[in-house]
Amino acid sequence: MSLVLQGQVGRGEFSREIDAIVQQGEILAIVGANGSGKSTVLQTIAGIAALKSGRLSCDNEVWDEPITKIFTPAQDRHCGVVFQDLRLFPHLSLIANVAYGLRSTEMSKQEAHARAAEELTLVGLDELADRKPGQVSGGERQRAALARALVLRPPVLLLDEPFASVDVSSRKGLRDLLPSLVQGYQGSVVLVSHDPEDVQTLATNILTFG
Amino acid sequence: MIQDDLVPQHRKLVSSYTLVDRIFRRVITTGGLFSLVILGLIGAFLLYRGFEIFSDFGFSFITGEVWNIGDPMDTSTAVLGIGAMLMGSVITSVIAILIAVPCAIAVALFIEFYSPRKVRLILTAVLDLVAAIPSVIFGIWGYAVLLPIIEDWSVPLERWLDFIPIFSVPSGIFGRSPFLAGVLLALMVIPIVTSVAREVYSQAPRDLIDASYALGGTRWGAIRNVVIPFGRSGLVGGAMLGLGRALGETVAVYLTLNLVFDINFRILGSAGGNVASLIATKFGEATEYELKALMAAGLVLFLVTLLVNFMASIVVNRSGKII
Repeated sequence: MSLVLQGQVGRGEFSREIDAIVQQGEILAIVGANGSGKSTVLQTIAGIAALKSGRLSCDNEVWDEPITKIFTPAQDRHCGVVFQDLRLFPHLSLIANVAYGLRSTEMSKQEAHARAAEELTLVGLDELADRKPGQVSGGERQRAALARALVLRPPVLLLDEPFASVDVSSRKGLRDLLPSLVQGYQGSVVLVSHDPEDVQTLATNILTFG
Repeated sequence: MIQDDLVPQHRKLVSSYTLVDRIFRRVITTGGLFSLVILGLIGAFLLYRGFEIFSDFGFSFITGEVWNIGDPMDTSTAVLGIGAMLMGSVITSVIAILIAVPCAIAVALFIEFYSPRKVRLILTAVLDLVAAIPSVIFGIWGYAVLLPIIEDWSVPLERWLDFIPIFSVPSGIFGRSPFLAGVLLALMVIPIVTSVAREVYSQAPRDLIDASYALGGTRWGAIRNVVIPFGRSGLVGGAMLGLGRALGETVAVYLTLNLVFDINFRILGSAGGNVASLIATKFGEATEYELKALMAAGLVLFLVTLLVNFMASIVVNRSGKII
C-alpha cells in the first residue's frame, strides 16, 4: 500500500500545501504547532474533509481529486482512524465499539465480536470488554480506540495525537505497545503528534509543518 | 511561613445592571410570570366552578361510565361520570401516537439525512403548513374523506384480526370509531412530533457521525448507532407533546367519533368519545348543574394534559444525553 497526497488541504486560514508519499510499512509523522493543519491532513485522508486542490490516491486508486470531481466517501476508504478525542461511541461497550467497523462490512455479529475480542486481548483490555467507555480510564479508552482502528486491518492507519489524552505513565505503556501492534502491519501509517518522543520512537519519516 | 500581607485579600466582585438591563429584565420576568398566572387562574376557575361536582361524586366522577342528568330540578337524581370519556381520550391518543411516532421518525430522518436541499425546504414548509391547519378542517376532511376509507379498512381488519379482542366488533357497525379518530389525530400530531424529532436529530454529535463513516459505517449505520440513540430522549419528549395535543383535541374528534357513554376497547366499533368532545357536545344545552360537571371534566382534562406536557418538558430537557 502506498499513499500519495499532493495538493492543498483545509479551508481559509487553515489551508496549506502538502506533498507527501507514505510507502507500505512506513510511518510518516507530521509535526508542527497547534493550528498548523496537521489534523486537517488526517481528516482529508480519512475522507471526512475534502481536498481543496491536487490529488490523493492510495495504490493508484484516486480517492480525492477536485478537478475531476472524484471523491471516494469515507466509508469506502476503509481507513483505520484513532481520533485525537477518541470518539468512542459512549452507549456501546468496548467490544461493540471495536466490532463496529467489522459489522459495517456485513460480517456476522458473532464473527465480528470474536475478532474484536482478539484485538482487545492484544491491547490488554479483554477483561473490560463489556464495559462502556465512560466506565474505564483514559488510557484504557485510548487502547480501545487503537484496537477499533487496527481490527479493520486497514490499508491506511491514521493516528491523531494517539497519546494526547493519557497521563505520562499510561503514555509510556502505550508507546511500547504501539510498535508491537504495528509490526507486520501491511499498510501505511500517518501519525500526527507534537511530542518529539512519540515521533522519535515511532516514525520512519518526518514532515514538519511551520 | 506566609506573611499576612502576601495573602491576597478577598475582594467583592460587583456587577451592576444598566437601566436598560433592569427594564428588560422586569419586562421578560413579568411576561414569564403572566403565563404562569393565566395557567393558575384557569385551573382555579375550573376548580371553583366544578368543586360541587367533586364533593357530590368524589372519585366516582372520574371512574363512572354513566352521564345522566336526571331531573333537572333535582340535582340529587343526577349520575355523572367521565370514566368512559377519559378512557376514550386515552385510547384515541394512544392509537394516534402509535401511528404518528414511526411516521414522524421516518420523515425527520429523511428530511435531515437523505433529502436534497430543495426537497428539504419544501417538506419543512409543508409540515409547518399542516401544523397550522385548523382542527375543524381536519374534522370535516376526516368525516368526508377518511371515514369511508377507514370503514373499508375496518371490515377486513376485523375479519382477519377478530381473535384479538380490540379488533372484534360484535355489533358489525364500523365507521365513526376510535380507530378513525386515532388516525385523524395521528395526522394532526405528525408535524409536531416530526418537528421535535428533526430538532434532536440535527443535534446528533457530528464528530461521532464522522467517526462512524471513518470506520466504514454506512449512512444507515451512523443513523442507527449515533443519531437514533442520541435523539431517543428528545423523541420521547416530542411524542409526549403530541400526546398532549391528541388528548386535548376537540372538534376533530367531535366530528369523527360516535359519542357513547361506555368504555369501548373495540377500536373499530362505532362507539367512543373523549373528554373534550363531551364538553363540546353537552355545553350548548347544559343545565346549571351539568355545566358544573363539564367544568369539572375540563379540570380533569386540564390536569392530565398539564401532567403530560410537564413530563414531556422534563424528557426533552434530558435530550442530548444518550440513554
